[in-house]
Amino acid sequence: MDHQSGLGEIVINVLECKSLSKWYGEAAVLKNVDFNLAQNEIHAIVGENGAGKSTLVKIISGLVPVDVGTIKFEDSDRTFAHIREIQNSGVALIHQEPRLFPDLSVLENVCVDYQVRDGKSKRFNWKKAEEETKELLAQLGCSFSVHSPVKALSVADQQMVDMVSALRKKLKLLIVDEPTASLTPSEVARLFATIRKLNASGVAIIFIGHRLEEVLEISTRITVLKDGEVVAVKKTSETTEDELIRLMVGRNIAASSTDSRSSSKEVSLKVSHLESPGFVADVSFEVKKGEILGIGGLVGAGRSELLETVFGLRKRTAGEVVSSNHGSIKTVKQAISARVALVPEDRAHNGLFLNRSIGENLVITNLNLTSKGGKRNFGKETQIANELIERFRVKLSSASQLVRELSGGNQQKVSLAKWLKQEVEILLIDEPSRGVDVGSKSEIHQFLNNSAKDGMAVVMVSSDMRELIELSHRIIVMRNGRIVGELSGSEISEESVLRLASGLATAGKAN
Amino acid sequence: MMSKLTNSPIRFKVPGYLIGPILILVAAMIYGSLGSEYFLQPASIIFNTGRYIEIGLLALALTFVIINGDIDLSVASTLAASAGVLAKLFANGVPIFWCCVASIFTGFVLGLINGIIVIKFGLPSLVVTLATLALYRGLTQVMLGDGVVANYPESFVGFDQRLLIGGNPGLPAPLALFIVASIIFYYVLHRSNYGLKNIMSGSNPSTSNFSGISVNNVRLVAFALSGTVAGICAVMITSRLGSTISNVGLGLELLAITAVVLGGTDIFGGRGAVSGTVVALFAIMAVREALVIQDINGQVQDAAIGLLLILTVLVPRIRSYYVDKRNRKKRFNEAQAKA
Repeated sequence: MDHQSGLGEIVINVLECKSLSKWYGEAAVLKNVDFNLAQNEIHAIVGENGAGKSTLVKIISGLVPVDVGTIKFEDSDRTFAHIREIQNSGVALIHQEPRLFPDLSVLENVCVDYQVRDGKSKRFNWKKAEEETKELLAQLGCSFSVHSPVKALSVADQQMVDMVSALRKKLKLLIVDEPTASLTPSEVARLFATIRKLNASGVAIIFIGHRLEEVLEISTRITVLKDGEVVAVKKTSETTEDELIRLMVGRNIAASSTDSRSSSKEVSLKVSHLESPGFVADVSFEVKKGEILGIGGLVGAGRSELLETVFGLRKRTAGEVVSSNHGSIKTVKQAISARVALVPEDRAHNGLFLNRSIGENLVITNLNLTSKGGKRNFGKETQIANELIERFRVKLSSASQLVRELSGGNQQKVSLAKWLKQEVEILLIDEPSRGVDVGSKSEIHQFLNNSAKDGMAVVMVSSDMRELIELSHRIIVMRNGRIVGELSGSEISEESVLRLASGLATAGKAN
Repeated sequence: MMSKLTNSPIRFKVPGYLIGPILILVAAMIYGSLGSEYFLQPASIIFNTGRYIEIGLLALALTFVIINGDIDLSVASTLAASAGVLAKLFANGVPIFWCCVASIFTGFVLGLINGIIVIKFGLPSLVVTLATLALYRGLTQVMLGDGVVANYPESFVGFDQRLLIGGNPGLPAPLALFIVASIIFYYVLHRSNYGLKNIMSGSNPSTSNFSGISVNNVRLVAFALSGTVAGICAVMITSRLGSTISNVGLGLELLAITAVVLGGTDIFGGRGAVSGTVVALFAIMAVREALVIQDINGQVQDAAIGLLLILTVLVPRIRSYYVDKRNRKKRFNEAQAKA
C-alpha cells in the first residue's frame, strides 16, 4: 500500500483489454470482454465451467489469438503479439497441471527457455544455471533437488518449478490458472505466500479459482464471468460468497419440470462402495428404470472415471456394480451383455474411429447381429448402418464417408447411435453435448428424455449446468472422487449444485 | 474423347495403395524383358516364384500384426528355430511327419511368447521382437551348432518341384499354396469379424476397448498367427533346400515387412489390405529378378528395394502436401474475393 499512497486513487493499469471476443467455430466463448489489471492487485476471475475464464487468460498470455478486440500491456499494443514476445515481456502462465517435460530434471526444465551462457564462448553454463535455480527454489521455500526428474515431484512442487521458470525472467504479470485444484491445504498456503510475496514486489497477478473461499482470501478484486461475458467486477472487501455465486449463476432455472416426471420404483443399476485408486472413492448410488441421474461436479472431480469404472474399463479395488436384470458387472464384456452402454466424453479418442467409415463405426458394436459364425454379412451391415443413420438423422454424404469428416454434432450422434441398435437398459453418457451444435444438442436431449420415458436408466455426467438441471430427475454431486451430496425435486438448482461441487456446503445445508 | 473415356461403363477403380506396387511391377517387367527375352515367359516367371513363397506367406501373416499397430521382427528367427527343431528331431530318428508338426507347433509357441511379452508387460513390440530376433536365432545356433542336417527322405524333399497341374508352365505346389493362403487371408481380414476387429484395434485401441473389443486378444492372435506361419514356412524351406543350417532364412523378415508396407499397410496400424501385400510381393520379386537378369550384383538389389520402399511411401505424401497447399490457396482466394 505504501508505494501507492503518493498516487492517491489513481490506478495504473499494466494490462488493458478492450472488447475481446472469441469464437470456437459457431460458439462464442468470449463476448465483448473488458478487463483491466492494476500493477498492485491480485485480480481473481471466477465463473462456472465454460464461462470463458481459461480462454481469457490464454488470449492474454498469447496461447490463443483473439478474434476481435485489443490488448495493451504496459502501454504497448500486444493484440497480435507472438507468444514468445509476450513471454519475453514478462508475462507467465502457470497451469493447473503444469506443462513440463516429465522425464527431464528440474534444472533442465527451468533452462528450456532461459539459458545461461558464458559471455565469450557462448557455451551453456550449467553450473551458473544450477546456482541460480537453487537460489530461486530456496526463496520459494522448496527443498527438492534440482536434479530430480519432474515426474517424481508432486503437482504442487511442479507448479513451483513452473514458477521458477517464470521468475528467471523479469516477471511483470503472473497468471495462475486454477492452481489449487490438486493441492493439499499446506501446499495451498505455501503457494499463496509466494503469490503475495511476488505481488508485494510489484508483479501483477491474475488468479483463476473455483474455490470461492480461496478466491476471497487471496484476491483484492474479482471479475465474474458468465457465458463469456463480464457480469461484475467487485472489490473483494465489498463482496461475499453468496453474492458471487448468485452472480455466477445469474439465472434461476425452474426445477418445475422435474417434479412432474415420475420414474418407476424399480432399481435398474446398483453401485456400492466402488473404489478406483486416485479417482473414485467409496461411491454408492442407484438408478431406477426410467430415471435420468445427473452427476455434477467440477472438472477433475472423478465423474468420467466413475462411469468408466462402472463400465468395467478401469481397475477397481473394491465395490460392486450390479444390474438388477443381469447380475454383477466386472468387465466391459459383462457390461455390454448386461445391456449397459457408455458414450464417453472424448469422442475422438474413446468414442469413435475417426479414420474409419461411419458404417464401420456403427457396425463394430453390433457384430452379433450382422455376422454369422464370425463371417460378416455386408448386406446386413449396410441395413443396420442405414437404419441408425436415419433414426438419428446423421447428416452425411454416404455411409462409407470417414467419421472425421463429420461435424461435432453428427459425430456425437454416431458415438451414441452405435449402441442403440440393440436394447440398452442402462445408458452411461458423459458430457452428451460437448462440442455439439445447438440443433444436435436438442435432438440428443430429446432422445434422452424419450428413452427415459420408455424405461431406460440414464446416468449422465455434465458440466453444462442448464443441461444437468433440465434433464436430471435427481443429481448427485462429486468432489475429489467422492459423492458429496444428492439433490432431487425442488432442491435442484444451479446454486445448490455449485455449492456442493465447490465444497461450500455439505449435503445437509445444500439449500 | 476425354468425356467418353471417363464415362465408359466399365471402370476399374484401382485402390490407391495398389498404384505404387503395380507401377513398380510393370517397370521391373519391362526392364527385365530388355535383359532377356525369356524373362516374361510364363514358365520362367513361375519357376522364379518358388523362392518367394515363404516370404509371401510371412508377409501375409505380418499384414495382420502390422495392421494392429504392432510389428514382428522375429519371424525369420522363429522360422529358423522351428526349422532347427525339425532338423534336431529328424536327426534323432523321429518320423518326418511328426518333425513337421513339431516345427509348426514351435512357431506357434514362439509367436505366442512374443505376444505375451508385448501384451502382458506393455512393452513395444519393436523392442521385444528385436530381442527375440536375436534370441530365437541364438537358440537355433545352440541347437544346430555349425552342423548341417541333411538326408531328409525323398518323399519330403523337393516340395517346390512338385506340380499340382502338370505341363508347361504348370502349377507348382508352393504357388498353389500361396494362392490358397492369399484367398483365406483375404477372407479373414476383409470378410470376418476378426479382420474388422483387427483393423479397428489398430485404428484406435482406446475406442476399441470402449466398444467391447478385447484389443489384447486380437493382438495376441496376430502374433500367434505370425509364429505359426513361420513354423509352416520352416517346413517348406527345409523341403525346398533339402538341408538345415542355423542361418536358414536369415534376413527374410526385411523382405516380408517391405512387402507389407509397400502394399499400403500403415506401419502405425489401422489400415491395410491383403491385395496390397500380394501385389507388392510380386513387385519385389520382379525387381530382384530383373536386376539378376541384367547382371547387377546382389548388394545393389538390396539397395534398390530399399529405395523403392522409401519412394512408394514418400510420393503420396508429397502429392497430398501439394494438393493441400493448392486447396488452402483456393480457400484463401475465395475468402478474399468475398471480402
